Amino acid sequence: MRFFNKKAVILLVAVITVFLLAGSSERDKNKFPFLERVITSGLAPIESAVSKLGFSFRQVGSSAGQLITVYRDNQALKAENEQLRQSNFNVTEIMAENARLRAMLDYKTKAPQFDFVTAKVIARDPGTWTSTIVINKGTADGIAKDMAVVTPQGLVGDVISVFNNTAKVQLILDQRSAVGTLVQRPESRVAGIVEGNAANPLAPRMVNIARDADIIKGDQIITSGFGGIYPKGLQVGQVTDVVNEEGGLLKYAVLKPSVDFDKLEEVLVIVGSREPVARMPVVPQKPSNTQAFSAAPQGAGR
Amino acid sequence: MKVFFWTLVIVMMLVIQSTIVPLLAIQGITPDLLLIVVVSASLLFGKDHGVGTGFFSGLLQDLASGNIFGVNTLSKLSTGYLFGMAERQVFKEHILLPILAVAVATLFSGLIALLMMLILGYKIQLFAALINRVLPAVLYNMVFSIPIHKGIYSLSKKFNKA
Repeated sequence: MRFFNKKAVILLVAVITVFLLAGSSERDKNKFPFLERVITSGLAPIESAVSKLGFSFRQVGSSAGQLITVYRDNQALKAENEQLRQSNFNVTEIMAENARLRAMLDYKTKAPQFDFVTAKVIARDPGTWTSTIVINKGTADGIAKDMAVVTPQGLVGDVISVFNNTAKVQLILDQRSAVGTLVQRPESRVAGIVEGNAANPLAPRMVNIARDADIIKGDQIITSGFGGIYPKGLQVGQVTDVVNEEGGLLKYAVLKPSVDFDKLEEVLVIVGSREPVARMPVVPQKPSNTQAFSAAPQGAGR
Repeated sequence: MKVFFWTLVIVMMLVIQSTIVPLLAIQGITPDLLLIVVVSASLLFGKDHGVGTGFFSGLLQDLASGNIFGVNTLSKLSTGYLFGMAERQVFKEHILLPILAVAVATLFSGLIALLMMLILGYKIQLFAALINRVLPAVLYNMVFSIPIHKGIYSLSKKFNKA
């Protein structure tokens, strides 16, 4: 009987300790940086090997499936290619125009030109209620905390902890994640915050939108650059539904993320963004022009 | 020897859980292999094993994912305790045992985890989360419970003989 009591006491102490730690680590996220480092780094090589195996298995499966649909895809792609060629032609025209107008306005913009580090996803979150991934690049490759992580399709998340050769990325699906965003449609530009949704992780929500704001189904949502972690203009997702919140003042939009989070194999970490590198021949002359232009009135003033 | 055996099982399952299992995700829902291990351990070997495996597998899961700390630890620990109490009252060879037990365990640990997150102040719609995430996971876990339970049953027999 005494023995049983001793065990019960140990159990009770353990439960209370965990609960207290849970409460405190919620406020201060990295409560066990050392243990986390040991476990994440220790598991990384095994996970890397096993996930390589898993990916190659899936590749075999999906390429067998692709053989069947390849003809139809090919036809569709041909049609799309035609269209894209047409619109690419238009884009070249518009870029040229844009560059001209920009030079005229002397408009300095921080159009995103990023330095990337490509990283492989070696593990996903083993827990059910959060969404993180582990990538195979760390401080040794120039990765630091709070860097944005993307794929060509759009925003993935941000780096929350970084070790020598691995880093942990919190996805935008995670309920703790919050991303400042905008509606891309030029006549709308409504701002809101995209938060992960614990009840349905593949449908994050854009919240804090005024009831009368101009946001509709099908709108593309991009990052706004507010907050400083995520650069402006990254694709986040598409609005699939707009729901009025109880209480009457706000509504939220349900999003379909642009990134296919079920099939995340490689990601790009944005390690630096710099001033735009001009692609059009008109633009490089801009700085000298403006200097000359701005110098002239000064001289005239004296 | 026992400690070694369970450590090996838990670490192996954790690795599989974070590498292979996400590839099987349907609509973001994945089975929780470690929960199945905890249920099997407690049904086969009683409360002590249940609580032990529950505590350590939850702890590892929490630490490996940089998770909301404690959510997996406590929900798995209490699941181990609950099913450990049932150890003496069940037929261990029956095939339905792991399936039904895992179904109940998924609901139970999901509820504990959600309640805990609510207490910690996360914004969660309890019912939506239960219906969208816990219920589909019940089915998925039931499918995986058979091979894992059988594996642990036969492996532990071998280990106990050796």
